[in-house]
Amino acid sequence: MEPIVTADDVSRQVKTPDGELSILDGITLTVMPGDAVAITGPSGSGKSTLLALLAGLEDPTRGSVHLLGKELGILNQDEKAALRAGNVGFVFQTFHLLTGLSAIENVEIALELAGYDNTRPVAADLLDRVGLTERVNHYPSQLSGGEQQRVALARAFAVNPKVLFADEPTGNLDAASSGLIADLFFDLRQQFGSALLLVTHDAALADRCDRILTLGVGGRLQS
Amino acid sequence: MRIVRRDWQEAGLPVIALALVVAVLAVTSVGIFNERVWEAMQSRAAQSLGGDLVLQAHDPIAPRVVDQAKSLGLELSQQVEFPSMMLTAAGSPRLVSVKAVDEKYPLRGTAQVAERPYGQGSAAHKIPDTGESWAHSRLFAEARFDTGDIVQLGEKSFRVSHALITEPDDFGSFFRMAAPRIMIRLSDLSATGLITSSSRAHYRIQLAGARDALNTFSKWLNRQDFPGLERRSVQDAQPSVRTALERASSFLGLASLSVVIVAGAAIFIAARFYARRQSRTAAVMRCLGASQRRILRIFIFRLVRVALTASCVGGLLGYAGQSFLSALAEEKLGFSLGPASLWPLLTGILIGLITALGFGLAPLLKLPTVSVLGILRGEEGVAPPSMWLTIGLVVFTSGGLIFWQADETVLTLWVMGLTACLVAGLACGGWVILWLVTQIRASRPTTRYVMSTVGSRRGMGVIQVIAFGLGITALLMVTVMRTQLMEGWMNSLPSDTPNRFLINIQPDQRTSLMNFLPRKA
Repeated sequence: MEPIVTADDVSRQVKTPDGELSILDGITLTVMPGDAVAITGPSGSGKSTLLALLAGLEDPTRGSVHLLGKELGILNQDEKAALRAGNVGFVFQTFHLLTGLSAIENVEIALELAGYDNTRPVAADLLDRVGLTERVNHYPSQLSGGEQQRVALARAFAVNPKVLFADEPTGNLDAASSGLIADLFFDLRQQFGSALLLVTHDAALADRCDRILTLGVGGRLQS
Repeated sequence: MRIVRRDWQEAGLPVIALALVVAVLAVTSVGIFNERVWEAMQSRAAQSLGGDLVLQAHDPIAPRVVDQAKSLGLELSQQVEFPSMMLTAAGSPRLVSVKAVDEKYPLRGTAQVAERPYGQGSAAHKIPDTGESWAHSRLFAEARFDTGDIVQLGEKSFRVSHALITEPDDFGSFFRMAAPRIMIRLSDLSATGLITSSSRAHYRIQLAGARDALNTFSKWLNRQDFPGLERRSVQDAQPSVRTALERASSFLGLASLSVVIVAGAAIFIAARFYARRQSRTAAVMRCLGASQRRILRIFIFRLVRVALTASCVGGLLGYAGQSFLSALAEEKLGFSLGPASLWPLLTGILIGLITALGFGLAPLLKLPTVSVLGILRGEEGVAPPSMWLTIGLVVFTSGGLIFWQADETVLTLWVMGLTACLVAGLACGGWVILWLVTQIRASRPTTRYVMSTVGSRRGMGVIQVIAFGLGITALLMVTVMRTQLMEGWMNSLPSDTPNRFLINIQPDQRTSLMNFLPRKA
């Protein structure tokens, strides 16, 4: 079976007025189809940067990343975008719904960019599965934080992704909503069979994954 | 309406829309007003000629001129005008100016006739019937005849059927005091036997038709050699009115263009703000798999959609605005203006689109390359647009619009050069002022916060200084130009140019009139 994501000796440095700063240093990992991998570590350890590198949103300074069998280093931005469309889902801490679009339109845009034609029924079904049947035409400003994250989950799973990148999906929610969203998140992942790369500070959430990778200060993999 | 409402809720877009509405309103209202005044003036000029173009010669005009005009689809009317002696039934002779016209006469305007001399004139929808004539009112009194009487021109008798009150192409009315007009049908002319090879007649052809056909005909005529053929077009008619209107038109055009340039500055600032606020949307789209080209297309399409909607609204408001201007002009000019065409509206909408893209495109071009990682971390922002691209687009757009208005390369280059100097001066001045502001050592934290905000966004501050500076300069320039134009025109007139004229004062009335006027002044 071919891995979904591999990182081989990936490092990332940025230039600062005080010289080069190492964000990630020599990360090597493999994620197989259906794997759920949690990435934890203190603030500033490079968790979100690693997620962006693995998703092809940023380029490593050294090392190589393969996503769905393709080496990202040799693809241009549009080729990487085409690879993500329909294969990759994202869930962010601050939801990042498009404010000018209603809940159903936020889901539809992911389908449209993935090349789906009849987007409305699929989007409506996803919103139904996350319990937002009555809120499909509401705009993000008319939804609570938990409801917005449900829409974000529907958008992420709409394209039946092979891999899901999630950055603190419950980090912006209260304890009650956080538990509900986490349950929904893992239920959906199981239904769709997507691999998962989850950045989180929440130990309970990390424990629900198959593996936990911990990054230390300076972006080194500790375990 | 849903899309418009959504666009209206996006930060930055309402400012872009409002700036465009104002700019297009100004351009459209001035454009329509100018067009209506010009068309009215052209129409009146054409009426004073009896056609759009008049050809005149002392010899019969060559048939190939007529053939060429007909082949271009132009309408033609032929006349012959000459002085002659008229005999009344009582046998008294009178010098008259005979005008023989064909059935098409006149092509523009109408002759006015009355049942009785000096009676209330009404439009004549035909020319004198065969064997009939129309005589000027003065001729009735001077030659002592009445309507229905018979007069003799050469070898043919004519019944005077109507009094001729006015004729549209009365070129020599003021100077033709000695020979009042008598108008007959052209087909009756040969029967009079008055036209011989030695006759001092004016042969005239009036032409009317589409502007393109007239231009083609004029160009053809330029290439031919017809000795003694005079040409008179609407461009030659009423030159003083034309010059005044040209000045007024230039002034209004410049004023409306100033509005467009100021709107452009507002659009640039609003587009930067809009791009900043849309950076998250662009980043999410990149995550979802949108190509850079697609992201750019989405935002450009959105800008064009807003620009098109705002330009249409501005254009329609411009239509309403020009009605107000036209009502004022009709009152001042004393004649009504014709209907407006759609051309100024389309031009206004096109200018709106060009302004939106020229000033608003550069900030959007950075959206497809927004840093997704930064957005994932909750930051907001997009790299500032390329300076050279921004300058290029602004110079190209402004230069194009100024050239469109000025229609002169040297003037355009002067305006662009001076504007560039002004922008450079404002940028330097703005930068220095903002730097000085950041050097102030404030003791209160709130004041220090304000100072640090000014310092951290100095680039945007300089852009705002330039925008405001350009706006104020444009307004001042329009105000100065208005005064200068009026003064320039007044200075071009001789110092003793009268404001009022009195004509037809007889020599014996002159002294008493000269005494009367100062008493009433």
